[in-house]
Amino acid sequence: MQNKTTALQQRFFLLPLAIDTNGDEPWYCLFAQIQVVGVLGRRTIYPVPFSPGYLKGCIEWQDSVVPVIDVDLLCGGKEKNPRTPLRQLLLVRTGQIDAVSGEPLKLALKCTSTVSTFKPSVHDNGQIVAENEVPPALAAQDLSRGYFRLRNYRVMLLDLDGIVQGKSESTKRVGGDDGMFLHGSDG
Amino acid sequence: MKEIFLSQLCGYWYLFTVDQVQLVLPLAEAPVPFNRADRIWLQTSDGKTAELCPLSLLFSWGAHQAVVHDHFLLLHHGERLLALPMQGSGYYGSARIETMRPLPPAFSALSRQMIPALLVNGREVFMQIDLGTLVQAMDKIAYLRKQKQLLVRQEQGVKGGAHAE
Repeated sequence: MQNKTTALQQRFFLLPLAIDTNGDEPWYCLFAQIQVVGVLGRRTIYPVPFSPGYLKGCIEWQDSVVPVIDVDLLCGGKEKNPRTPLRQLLLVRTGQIDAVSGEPLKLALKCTSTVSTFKPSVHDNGQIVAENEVPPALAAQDLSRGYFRLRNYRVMLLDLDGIVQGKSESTKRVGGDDGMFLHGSDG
Repeated sequence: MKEIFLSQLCGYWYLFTVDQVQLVLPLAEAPVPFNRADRIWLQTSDGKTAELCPLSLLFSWGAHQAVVHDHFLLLHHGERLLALPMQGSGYYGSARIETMRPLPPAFSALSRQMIPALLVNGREVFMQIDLGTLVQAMDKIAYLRKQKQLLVRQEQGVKGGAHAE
């Protein structure tokens, strides 16, 4: 009971996902308050060459450098119009630790839609989402710790530990046999 | 302390070591680029040729690509000369080596090879570009372009043969 009470005092953050749901209800990524370091305003994202498409670059934050992820692309969705202005960056801490500083490794999640928050009530219980409800694009990425329904939201818990360490399959593929991942080699 | 040169390429700042910098050439004084062997070159006043590096193929600069350059930064790597379009004439400075840091682990080994170090001044991020990796990338781009041209010619040859029949 005490754990539930503590959980109810927490706020949760919902990041909408722009993935194809065949007209069904949208999906959201859920982050607990304890995971969220902050919500940052617009700032310069510095692109880094030879990065997978979802890894947009890095930002400067408190004299350190944080990678920026486009969650829509990471989850198999399409990138919104590149001219869609960046609204916010959701700065989250992961479960992995920086070997040098001893601090949790962080990621900045690019938000072109508004991040919403809510505080669950005692009546809010997560409901299981059927396997066939999960969009194939999401299931194929194998980045989820779980899917469930909370209030009227279909949510997934994103596993970012592999991403922050560069251990995702997409990152490994960069620099494979072809040697280079070029941002368009047409000339 | 390390002597560095800061240059603005497409709205972002990059740093090179001073010994890599051959020349900063204002656009008004630069010769007209020419094509040779699937690459674009600039002829310098002392008769050498510098390869123009289309960094936009490597960096997803996006909206900043419209920024117009007004200088060329000529860098040397061994016997090769590279020309990078640059805004402004750049700045010389110095940086403490211990303040330079690598890219976070989220980035691939190839990214880290291209960008071996970063300098953060509390407001901006300055990325160091490794010239050896840049040269390899330019060679790869030229190779891929040549392959594409060969493929196009082959396809045209096949179509021409089909029409003749």
